[in-house]
Amino acid sequence: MSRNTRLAWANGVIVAGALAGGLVLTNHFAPGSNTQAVPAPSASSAGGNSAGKTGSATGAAVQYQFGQVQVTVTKTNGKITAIDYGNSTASAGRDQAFPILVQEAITAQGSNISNLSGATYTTDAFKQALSSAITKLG
Amino acid sequence: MTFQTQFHFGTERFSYAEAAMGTVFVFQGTSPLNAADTRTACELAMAIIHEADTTFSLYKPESPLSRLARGETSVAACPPVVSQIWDDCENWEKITDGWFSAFTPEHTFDPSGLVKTWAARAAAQFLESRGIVDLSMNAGGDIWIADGASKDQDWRVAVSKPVSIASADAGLLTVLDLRDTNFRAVCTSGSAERGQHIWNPKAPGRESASELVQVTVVAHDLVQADVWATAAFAHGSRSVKQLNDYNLANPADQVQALLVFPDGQLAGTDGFEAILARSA
Repeated sequence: MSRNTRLAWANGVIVAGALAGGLVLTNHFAPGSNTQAVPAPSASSAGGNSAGKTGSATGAAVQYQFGQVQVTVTKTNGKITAIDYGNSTASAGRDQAFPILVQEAITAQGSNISNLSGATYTTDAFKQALSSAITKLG
Repeated sequence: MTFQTQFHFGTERFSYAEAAMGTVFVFQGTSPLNAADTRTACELAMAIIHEADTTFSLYKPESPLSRLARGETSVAACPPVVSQIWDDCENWEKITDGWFSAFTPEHTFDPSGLVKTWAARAAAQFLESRGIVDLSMNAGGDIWIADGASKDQDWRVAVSKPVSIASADAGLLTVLDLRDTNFRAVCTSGSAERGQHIWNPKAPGRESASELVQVTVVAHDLVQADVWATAAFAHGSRSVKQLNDYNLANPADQVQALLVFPDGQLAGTDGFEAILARSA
């Protein structure tokens, strides 16, 4: 990579793909289009505003280079019990590009990546990341 | 703000998350033990990390390290593990040609850049000793994969954008796939979560390093990846050449790095492309 000088990530996701025997690095998202990072969820939940809710929230359908992604997060008694990518049409292997939900996948199984490496986050940041995409579920 | 321990024991996989050292540690995989014994094993593994924190935390005024920093005690009078870590730090300082240093701008000993992954490695090894060999660990953003990890998802490791995971534009920079490699650890240093906290050990006043916003290092060993991530962050863009040279001299012990500059540009070591996850 150093021989090929630098690459821009430009708010995108760098992925490698094989093309005509050579390695191609592309931005996953168009530069500057960053609004899909955390889809605002629409909630259908039961149990009022108290903690320990049970219900599910479906994020807005997000179009990106490899297709459409739509995520449904299910909580039972306040704990994430399922993440469903059922309405997604992303090509195989590319759904790991889904944004912050990866952190949720650490506690609720179902994504294609188990771990996210980043600068050492605080406990509070971890909690916020867990809750940001499912705020409507409380 | 406290973080409640999270334990999930499903039909196929378990995950366990617990706060320590100001961050969160997550173990996940499959367990040959029942749910209760799996949870107990995770709690015992975390006890290793809490014990290290009790000894090495500079946030705890009465820790041996805090007393050492105030000059109230000596390394010889501290628990033996302190001199072991001291020796480790000196060794890594040599290996990184001085770009990793546990000596602060105030000339006190601060091995916290190494202790987290050192303790996490011991915790993971404990879980393996209990039979939980299909395992991966997230130690506050530093990732380790056991030899026995079975699922493709455990071998794929995402790298965060150089922004806080709590920010609105949090997301993934890229995804690595370490299956069928000798790499087991992915560590990231950056300013996204805690600001500029890595000092340049070669600057006159050991000022904060700021040429890069993030460095991700992939290596076989967790502590090795952590130390090199810190060293490369301090060293800046020239760390690419340093690591390329290191890899030429140590072909069986490769260390790959991905650098992110403040303007969003990237640079990487020669072998980094090979571990990017391929699109299908």
